[in-house]
Amino acid sequence: MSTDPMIAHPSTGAETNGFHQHRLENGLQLLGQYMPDVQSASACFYVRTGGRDEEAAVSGVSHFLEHMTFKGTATRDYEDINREFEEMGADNNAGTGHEFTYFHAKVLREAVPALLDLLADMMRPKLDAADFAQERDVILEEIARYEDMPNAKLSNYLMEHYFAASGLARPVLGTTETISAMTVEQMREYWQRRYGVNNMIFAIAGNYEWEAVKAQIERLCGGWHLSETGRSPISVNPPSALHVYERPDLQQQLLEIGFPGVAQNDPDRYAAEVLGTILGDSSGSRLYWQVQETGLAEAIGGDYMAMDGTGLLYVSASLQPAKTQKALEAIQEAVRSLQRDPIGEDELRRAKTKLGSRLVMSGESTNSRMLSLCGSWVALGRLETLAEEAALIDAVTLDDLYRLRERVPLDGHQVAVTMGPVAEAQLR
Amino acid sequence: MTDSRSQGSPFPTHTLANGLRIVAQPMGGVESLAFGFCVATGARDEEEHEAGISHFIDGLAFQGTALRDTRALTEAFDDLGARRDASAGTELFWYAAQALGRHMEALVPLMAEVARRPRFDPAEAEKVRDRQLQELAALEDEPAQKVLDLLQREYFHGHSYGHSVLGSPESVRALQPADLRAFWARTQLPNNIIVAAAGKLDFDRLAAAVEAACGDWEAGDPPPLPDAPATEPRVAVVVRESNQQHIGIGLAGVPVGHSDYYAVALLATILGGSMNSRLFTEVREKRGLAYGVGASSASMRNAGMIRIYAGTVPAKAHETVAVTLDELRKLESGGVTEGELSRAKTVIKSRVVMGGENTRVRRNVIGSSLWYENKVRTLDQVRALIDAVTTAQIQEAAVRLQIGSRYTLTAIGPRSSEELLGNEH
Repeated sequence: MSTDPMIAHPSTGAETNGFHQHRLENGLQLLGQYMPDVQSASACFYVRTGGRDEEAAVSGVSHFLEHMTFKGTATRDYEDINREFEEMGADNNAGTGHEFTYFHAKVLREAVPALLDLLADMMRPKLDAADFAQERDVILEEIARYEDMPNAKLSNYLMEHYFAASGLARPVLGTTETISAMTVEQMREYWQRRYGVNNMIFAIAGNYEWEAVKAQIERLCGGWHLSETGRSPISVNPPSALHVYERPDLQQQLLEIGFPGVAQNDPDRYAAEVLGTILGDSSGSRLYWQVQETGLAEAIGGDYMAMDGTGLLYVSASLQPAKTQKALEAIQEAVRSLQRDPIGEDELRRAKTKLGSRLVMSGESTNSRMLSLCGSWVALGRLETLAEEAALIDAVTLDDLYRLRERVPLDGHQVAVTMGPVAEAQLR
Repeated sequence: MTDSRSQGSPFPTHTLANGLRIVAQPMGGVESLAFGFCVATGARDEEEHEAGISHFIDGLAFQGTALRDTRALTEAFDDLGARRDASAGTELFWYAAQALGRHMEALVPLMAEVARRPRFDPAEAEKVRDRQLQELAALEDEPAQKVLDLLQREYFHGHSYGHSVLGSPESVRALQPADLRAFWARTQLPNNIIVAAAGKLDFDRLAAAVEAACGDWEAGDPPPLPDAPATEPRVAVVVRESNQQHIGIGLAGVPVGHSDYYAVALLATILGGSMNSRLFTEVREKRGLAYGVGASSASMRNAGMIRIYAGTVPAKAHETVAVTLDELRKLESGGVTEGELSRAKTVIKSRVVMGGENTRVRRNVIGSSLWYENKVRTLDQVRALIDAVTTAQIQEAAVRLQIGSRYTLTAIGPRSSEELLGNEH
C-alpha cells in the first residue's frame, strides 16, 4: 500500500498511464503495467502458439510441451524448478489454449529478478527423452481425467463440429492415440518451429523496476532463436446441425450451441461484448430470464469468444434431461429475438454498467492486468488503458449493436451439441 | 458496546446496540469495495429434516426481497454494476457483494434488504429446489468432488460438522418455504452477524449506513456452537465403474485459533500443498502414480482436519494409497527438515501478502477472523506467527495428532477397500 514506508516508489519511467513497452532487437515484445499500490508483481512469457498451430499427427504437443518445461533445462532439473518457485513464494502456473501457451507467476516485489531468471530458463527446456516418456503417462492420465468431466468433453465436441477440418477442431490435450504415438523428436521440432523469441511476449504487471526488468530480460533472452510467427487463417461456415452424445450414465443433460461471432480485432468488438452481455450474462440477461428463471435450465450462460481471425458466440447450459427440447427452443427463440427485434435502452445501459464495473474490479489484480496486456497486444498491436477500454464500452450505442447484428447475423448458422441421458430420437 | 473507531486503526470496528458487529479495512490504490454480511450459521445448524436448507436459502437470497421481486432486485444490483453472491458453508453463511466504492451508500441498504427481508417466494423456491437437486445429481457426475464430500461426512461421522452443504435429495425435495423462514429466523439474527467491508471506504460513513439499515433489527437467541467432535478412524468405499479411482484421506487437524494452527497449516503444505511437496514428489513425480494429488488443512471453530486427495487410474490405486500412508508414517516419525519448513513458510506468507491485495479476500478474512478469534491480525502479525513455528513444534503436533496411524479413508471407483488397502487394513 502506498502508505507503507517500507515500499519505495522509485521513478519508473512509465508512460503517464503506467504502461511500459519495449521491443528487443530479436523481436521479443516486452510489456509492463506499473501498479504502485501493490507489493507483488505477476509476470509471464506468452508464446503465440497453441493447439490450433499443431499438425494433426502431433495433436496435443503444445500442452505436453508446456508440461515438459517444468521437467528441466540445461542448468536445472525438475526439483530445482519446483524448489525455486517455492523458495520465492511464487503462485505459479502455466496454461495452454488453442492460440497461446503461457507460463506465469505472481511473487513479492523483491523476488521478481529470481522469477525472471527461472521463467526465462524454462523457455529453453531440456526435452529429455526419459522425462518425455515419464511425463507421457501424466498426460494420458490427464486425458483420462477429462474423460470423466462431461463439461470439458462437450466443449471439445462443440469446437470439433464448429471448426471442422481446422486446427481449432482438435482438443488441446490431444488424444490417447496422438500422445501415445508422439516422439520427443517431434516435440523438439515443434519447439524449434514455434518457440522463437519473435513469437513471444514477456509481460509484467504490479510493482517492479522497469529498467532492471528490461536489462535482465535483454540479457536472458537476447540470444534466443527465431521461428515462424503467425498462423494459417481459417474460414468457418459450418452447416447447422445438432449432435447428440447419449450418455445414460449421466444425471444431467449438458447443452452447448455455437453461433456466428467476431474476431478479436473486429472494429465492433466492444459492441459484441455488450451484445453478448445482453444475451447471456449470468445476471439479468435475456437467457437468464427466459431460460434459467423459467426453470428450463439449472444454469445458462453465453458470450462471444473472439479469436485470431475467427470467433463464435457460444451458449452453454446444464439442465434436467426431460427439459432439453424446450430449453433448446427457448435459447433459439432468445437468439432469434436478439437478431430481429428492437433492443431496449435500459438493457444497453445495464450491460455497459456491468462491463465497465467488472473491468475496473478485475483491473485491481496483477494477474488479470498481465494477461490483458498480452490480449490487447495480440488483438490490436497496442495497449489500451482501463480508462480507454471503459470509454469504448461506454460509447457503444444501439445503432452499433444493430450494425453488428446485420453484419454478423446471429441466426446465420448454429451448431448444437448435447450430452446426457437424452437420445437423439427424443429431440427434433 | 465497543467502539474502536480510533484514528489509524487498520481494522476499525463498531458494534450496534442489537449486537451486530461491523469491521472494515480501508485500502489504498483500489476503486472497488467488497462488502458482506457474515452470519454464524451453516450446515452444522441443520436438523436432519432440514439437510441442505442453508444452501437452499443462499440460492434464494438474490431472488427477490419482501420489497422487490426477482427482476427488480436483479436490476437494482445491475444498475450499480455490483457482483453478488450468497454462500453457505459448514458454519459461516455469507451475503457478499463487490462494487465500485462510490456506490457504498446505495449498496449497503440494498444488501441489508436482502439479508433482513427475504421473500422466500414459493415459485422461486421451486426453481432453487430444482437447481439444488441438479447440483446433487451433478456431484454424482464429478467423483473428485464427491469423494471429498464423502470424506467430510465420514471423518465427522455423527457430528454436525459432517453435514453436507448440499443436503440429500430426500431432504431437499421436502423443504417448504415455512421451513426456510423458521431456519432463517432462528439463525440469522443481528447478534449472530458480522458486517465486513474492505476496499475504498470511509469507515464513519460505512458505519452510519449500516446503522441506518440495520439499527432496528431485533436481536434474538442464535443456536449454540456444537461441542467438539470425537472422531474415530473409518473406511468408506463406493465401488463403481469409472476410468479413475478417487481417494480421500482425512487426518486430525486443529481448530482456528489453536496454538498449533500455523504448525498444522505448514505441515499440510509440506505434505501436499505445492508442486514441491512430499506427496507430489513421491506419488506423481517419482512414480507417475496420479495426476492429481494434494493435501490441505481445514479448520473450524472447534475442530480441524487435514484432507488428502489423490486421483489415479485403478491399476495404480493400491500403490498410491500405500505410498501415501508410508509418507504419513515418515512424517510422524521423522518430522520435517529446516529447508522444507523454510520453503513452506515462504509459500504461506506469500499467499497471505498477495491475498492482501484483493478486496474480496480481505473482506472474507477480516469478517471470519473476528468471528473465529474475536480479533483481526495485521499481515505483519500473521507473518510473525508463521515465522515462529519450529520443526520441533511440527513434529510434536504430528505425533500428538497421530498423523502416521490414525486416518479415515474414502474412495470412489472400481476398487474395493481390500484392494486399496491390502494388508494396511
